[in-house]
Amino acid sequence: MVGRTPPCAADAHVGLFAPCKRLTPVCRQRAMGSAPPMQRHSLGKVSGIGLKSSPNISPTYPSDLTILAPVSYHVISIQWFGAVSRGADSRPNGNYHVCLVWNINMIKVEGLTKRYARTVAVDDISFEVEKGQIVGFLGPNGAGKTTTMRVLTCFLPPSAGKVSVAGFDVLENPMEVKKRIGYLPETPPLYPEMEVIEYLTFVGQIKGIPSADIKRRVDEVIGRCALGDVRAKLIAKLSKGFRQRVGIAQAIIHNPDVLILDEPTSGLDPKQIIEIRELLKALSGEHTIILSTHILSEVEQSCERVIIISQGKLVAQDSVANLTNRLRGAEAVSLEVEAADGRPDPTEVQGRLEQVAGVSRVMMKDSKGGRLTFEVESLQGRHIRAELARTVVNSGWNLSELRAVGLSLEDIFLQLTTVETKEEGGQK
Amino acid sequence: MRNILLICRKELKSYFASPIAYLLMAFFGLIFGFGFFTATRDFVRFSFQSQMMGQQQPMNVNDQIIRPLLGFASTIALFLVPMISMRLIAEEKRTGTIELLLTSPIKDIEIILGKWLGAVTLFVCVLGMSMLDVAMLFAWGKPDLKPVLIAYLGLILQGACLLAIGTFISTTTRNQIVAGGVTFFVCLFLWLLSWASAFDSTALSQVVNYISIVTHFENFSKGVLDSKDVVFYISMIFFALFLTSRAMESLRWRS
Repeated sequence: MVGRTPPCAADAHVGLFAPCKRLTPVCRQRAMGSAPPMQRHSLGKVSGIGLKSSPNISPTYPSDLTILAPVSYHVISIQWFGAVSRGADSRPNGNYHVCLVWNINMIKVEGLTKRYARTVAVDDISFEVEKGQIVGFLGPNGAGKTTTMRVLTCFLPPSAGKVSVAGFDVLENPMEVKKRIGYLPETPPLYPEMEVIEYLTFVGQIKGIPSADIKRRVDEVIGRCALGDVRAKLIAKLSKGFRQRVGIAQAIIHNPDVLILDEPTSGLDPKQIIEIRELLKALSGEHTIILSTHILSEVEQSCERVIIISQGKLVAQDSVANLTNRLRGAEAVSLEVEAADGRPDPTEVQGRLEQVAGVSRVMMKDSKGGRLTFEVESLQGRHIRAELARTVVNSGWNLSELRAVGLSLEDIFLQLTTVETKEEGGQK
Repeated sequence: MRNILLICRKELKSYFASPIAYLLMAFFGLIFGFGFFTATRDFVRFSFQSQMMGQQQPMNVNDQIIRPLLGFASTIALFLVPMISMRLIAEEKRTGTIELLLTSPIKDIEIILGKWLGAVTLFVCVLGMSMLDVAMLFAWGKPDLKPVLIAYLGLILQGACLLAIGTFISTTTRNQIVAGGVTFFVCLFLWLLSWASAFDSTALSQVVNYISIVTHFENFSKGVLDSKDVVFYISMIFFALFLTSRAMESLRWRS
């Protein structure tokens, strides 16, 4: 791995600069967090861990750095941009500009299929999640959300397909994946006979936190998840909301890169839901989060992207903004015009409709039984229904139906997830 | 290694956080104490009698108290083991905490070894209750120490072996009662095997006799440390734990 020159491609990932002597952990974080935008450089897409030699420095020189750049930071390549200063022998004296290129896709799922004895739980799903994103995993109960999450967390092996987390394959390198994942299953995995602090310490230990850091980390997550009041209580005595919070604390204790939460707000009261949501927001900066839910408002409130699956198949994935914009901001109108003896001519109607102000698209849907059905979409934020009706009537045609089909996220969700059910129902 | 100890310590904590550990210790302490009381009383009475009658029969604390008592303990162990091992993995499966363990960066075998070790440690603690009684013999009598130690080693090995089998059975179900019940019957069966072949000398019964876990304890209880028996127990432990790790893996593929 070390020292391999990575292949480059046209579309670029971003590298950040930071002057550092050695890539210490602190330094590394600074390198990732606070680079001025103008210094961002396109380096070409890099796959695999490697080292790009710069003309000024021999590629052998920074070899110690490559060892220091642990894969846990998804560093895919380190580029040296020459020494800041040079010694008398014109060799770099140790201060370099370093450019880190890291894997933008924290989670990469390609063609994931999971079969159980008789059923196919997940069928050929592919998606990618970028670092730092919050992704909502949406679907009705039994859609395959939990199965997908279990594959991501190495709890279940995939039947087919390639799944990698932070660049590590779940089958080839499960230990590395597990180190980087925090997982909250549907029922928080708690030991009721333990005290909160005892439990968190235990989880911290099995997640591999060095013993010197454990106390600090435990205190940190207790603060973060507001568990201070119950730290010495038995988990068996905690309320549901607190248990859920202990579950989240357990998932973030080792500061994982990826956080996978299976229905984190199920069974909580509204106040608790808001608290959890706030907590997730606070966490989203440094962690990549996937959360599953069947509550839509939840996704709209806290996620940047939505992946909708139903019956084990991926039915949609887009950013929340895109989905809602496409479906809410613009108006979609279904319009039916009566026709007899080939009049009016469909193309003529379509032409007229397209000329109405504010119309972005006209689609001919149907022309059965003497009725022409069109679907008309408006531009962002324009109301076109009245104008459409006027146009049709003024042209001397009979307008038999006009209704808005503007879809909310809810509608889309139902549409996407129930179509298949109907089909299946029909077959049975 | 650190992970094994972590899991082991966690297991012990949960044993001692629930009444089960204390219950088992009390239960075993009482039964063993009762056995000890009768055995010692009879021994004392018998030795008085033989002294008064002027007979010089050799009386030996080791042979007449400790050996039958520890043999008795090995039988009680058959009942203890299912109660200790039944919850090991079945409970984690039922409550879902197994997901925490299997998604943490620890190996399956570390989980299994840790849990088994925790169970063995509890078993040793329970067995420790009998040492109170045995210690009294040492305080007021002059038994031989070595055979006692060997017998205890045998008890521990036998218990560890049965516990490994119990761990395997606990992995195959999510119901503690089922795990406990099946383990109990397996223990009982392994015990009965020695009866079945007691008065038979065909090759088959020899094999059956060899498989029976209890027959291997006999040498230990006599104070004889035979490598054959040690090897038997250790290989049984290996085999059972190997099966456990396979069962754990199949859990991932099936669940």
